Amino acid sequence: MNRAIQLARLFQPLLICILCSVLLGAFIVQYGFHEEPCPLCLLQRAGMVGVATATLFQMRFGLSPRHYGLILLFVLFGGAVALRHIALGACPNPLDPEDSIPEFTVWGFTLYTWSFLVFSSTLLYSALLLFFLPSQEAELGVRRLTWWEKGAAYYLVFIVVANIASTFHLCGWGLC
Amino acid sequence: MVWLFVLFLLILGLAYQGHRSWAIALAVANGLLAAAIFWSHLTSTLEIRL
Repeated sequence: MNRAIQLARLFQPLLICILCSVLLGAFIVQYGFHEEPCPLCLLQRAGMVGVATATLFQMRFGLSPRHYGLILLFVLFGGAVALRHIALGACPNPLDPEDSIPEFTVWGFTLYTWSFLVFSSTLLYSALLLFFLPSQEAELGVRRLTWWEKGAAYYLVFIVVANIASTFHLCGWGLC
Repeated sequence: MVWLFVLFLLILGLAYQGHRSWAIALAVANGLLAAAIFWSHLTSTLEIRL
């Protein structure tokens, strides 16, 4: 097996675990420090869950350009939302105090800046894998997951269920 | 907004069952839904500024 494929198999569950841990950190900020998420924060969370879900497709169904396309689409979406959030932070709206941002920082960076860094790093990871993967690689079909991959998948399911509960608690069935 | 995450749970269930095409189609639809929500937020806040 190509070395890049072996590395991809190793890093896919790791990427899911990193994204889920970032989302878990968002929950700690939300409930531990009473910083309620805004609609843009929730959209960035959805973007991260989307990237993790598309990565799960890579693990479950094999490496395919279509799965990478899906990862890139969610990275593009999440990165755009994070950039918008950063722009609002740089130029807060004086007419709408609700529109200004809470300045909760971790190691000097706001959460949406971290979010943008996470999306950028995922983009770099995907670009490197696409660069090194052999072009004939398209092993489609349902794979059995290893224990390491299963653990990452269950972690993702837990985070998605927690997000459903949290978002329903904040916004109900409608838009926030 | 909660529907985005409900759909993600459904997508994960489809992936678990091995329905690749349905899972991908629903993921794309979910991405479009998220983009539509972002677009509505973007235009409403831009209106305030302009």
